Amino acid sequence: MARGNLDVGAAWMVQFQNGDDAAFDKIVIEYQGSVFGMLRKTLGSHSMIEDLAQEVFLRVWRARDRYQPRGLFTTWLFRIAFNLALNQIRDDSRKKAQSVQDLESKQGELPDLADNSVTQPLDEQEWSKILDEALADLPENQRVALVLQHYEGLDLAAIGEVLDISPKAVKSLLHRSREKLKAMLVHLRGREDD
Amino acid sequence: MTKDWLGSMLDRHSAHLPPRGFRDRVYARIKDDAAVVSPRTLWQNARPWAAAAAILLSVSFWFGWSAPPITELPIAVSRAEVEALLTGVVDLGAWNLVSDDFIDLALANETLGTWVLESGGDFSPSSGLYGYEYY
Repeated sequence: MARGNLDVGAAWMVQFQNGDDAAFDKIVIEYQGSVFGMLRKTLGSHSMIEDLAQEVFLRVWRARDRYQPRGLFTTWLFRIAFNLALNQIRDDSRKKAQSVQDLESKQGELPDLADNSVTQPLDEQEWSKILDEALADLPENQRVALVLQHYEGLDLAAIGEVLDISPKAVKSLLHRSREKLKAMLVHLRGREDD
Repeated sequence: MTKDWLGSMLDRHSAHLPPRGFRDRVYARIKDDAAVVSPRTLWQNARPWAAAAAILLSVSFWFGWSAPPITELPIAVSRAEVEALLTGVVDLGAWNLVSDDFIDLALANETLGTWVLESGGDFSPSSGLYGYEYY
């Protein structure tokens, strides 16, 4: 998707602006997985994920008349998702007392890694829980930067557009997030290839 | 980018796919959203009309501000016009109108179904019934 040319998402959005509702359907089908996955990895196992993912596409629908195809469509789409995720995180932090209770109950479900022998393989569910916990420990901008880079394949400039920061700042965020994750997960090194 | 052990580890995270029926629920949400007219949308739609009404009111007020009171408006009617109007009134009063009860609309011949205004009447120009005929 070269910059300066319309990427496929932007082209569909322009078609949608010109009255082609089927183009909006293509957008939903193509990007529902990315939006849902990004929100899921950013917010962890949250009850509002689907609601927020729906809200992203609702906002795309509402933006029909105002959308201007500048930059990548995915950066615009992820920016909507990021803003919604950020609002949700802030909303959750206001209900901190409740969140602490949820976290305690979640921690009770986590596999007791200390008791696991080094050779015992971890299944997909256990990896998901471990990674959810590790990602949740990152500040939200580091978390989103890492998710967008690793899972969605966005480059530094695109991540910068989503987070509204410079590519250099993104690079710094990614470095810090990776260092922090490595420190948290180093004890599981060697078990990722099980 | 060469994938290090952290990258391999992050790859073990589940692919989080949207639940079944997600797309349908997106459309249901859009439908619900379209049915609700938010105050903001309402204001956006009403804004041009409100602006037009405000301009119209301002212009009307501006025009009315310098105008004299309506009770002091001069009525410019010439003497000749007044005389012409009075002459017209006099002419109307002089007309000899045929009253309705003078006209007999009874069915004169029920078998033939013909109407006659006045059987054997005088239909001369001086009778006032000139122009009426049997039907």
